[in-house]
Amino acid sequence: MENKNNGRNPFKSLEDEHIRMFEDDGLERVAKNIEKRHDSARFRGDVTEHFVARAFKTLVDFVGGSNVPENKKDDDDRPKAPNER
Amino acid sequence: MAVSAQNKDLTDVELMHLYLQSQNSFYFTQLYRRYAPKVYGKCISILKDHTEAQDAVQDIFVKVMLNLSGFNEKSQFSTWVYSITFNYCMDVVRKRKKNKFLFSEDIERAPDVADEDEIPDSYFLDLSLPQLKEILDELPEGDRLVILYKYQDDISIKEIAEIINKTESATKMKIKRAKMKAAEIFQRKFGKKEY
Repeated sequence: MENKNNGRNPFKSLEDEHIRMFEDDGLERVAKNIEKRHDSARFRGDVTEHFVARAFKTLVDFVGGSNVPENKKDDDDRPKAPNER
Repeated sequence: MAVSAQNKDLTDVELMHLYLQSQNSFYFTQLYRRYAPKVYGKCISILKDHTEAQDAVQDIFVKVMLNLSGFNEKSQFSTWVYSITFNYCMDVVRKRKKNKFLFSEDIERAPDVADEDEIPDSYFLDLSLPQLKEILDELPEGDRLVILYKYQDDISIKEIAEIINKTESATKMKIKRAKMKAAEIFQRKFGKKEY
């Protein structure tokens, strides 16, 4: 069967045409827009992380939580058996 | 530059991990540059408008970026990106169209065809570019995308099935019906073509 594309897959030729269109107009602009979205998402993430940590600390302070005492053995609070000292 | 040369050698998953660990947009941009032109090709083939297709690429890659940590790596990164592209395009088409049929087999009940009746790949690979464009223009959008994934991206049936979220046998049938529909359009426009 005669190939009308000099042996070239017409689907690949179509893809090349689309790639050229996008590279000429779009590729860089869209890249910049995505980068902006990345920066704002990251900024929102940082802000959320910061304020969630602050809010949690405030909540713990409010309900009377305290810091873990230093030099406390891990099993100090463990219920002891009657024969255990 | 040595650094960019190194990045060209990195796999998609390596770039993805570097991006997630460092949150440096440079690594995501590498993934974008790898796949955005192909994603654009699919979007313009479906949406038929350069500006809309560019906006679609942007939306799709923002979606990829925001969901990257949830990508489970069970499929290839490219398959995942193409699946997001497929769903995005089909959603736009569903909103646009009055009828919701995306595949020719949803529109018309095609007769059951035996394996030996399958239209050979050469039937489509021998088309001229203008002929191919005319055929694609008339194909239902779902058919158009599966045909493009098969012949443009050389994606396996298994991966196309993952992209369109169907079983492999259902995908094979969709491709077969899409090919039959494409051949029917060819005959109507350009006359009979032997295979």
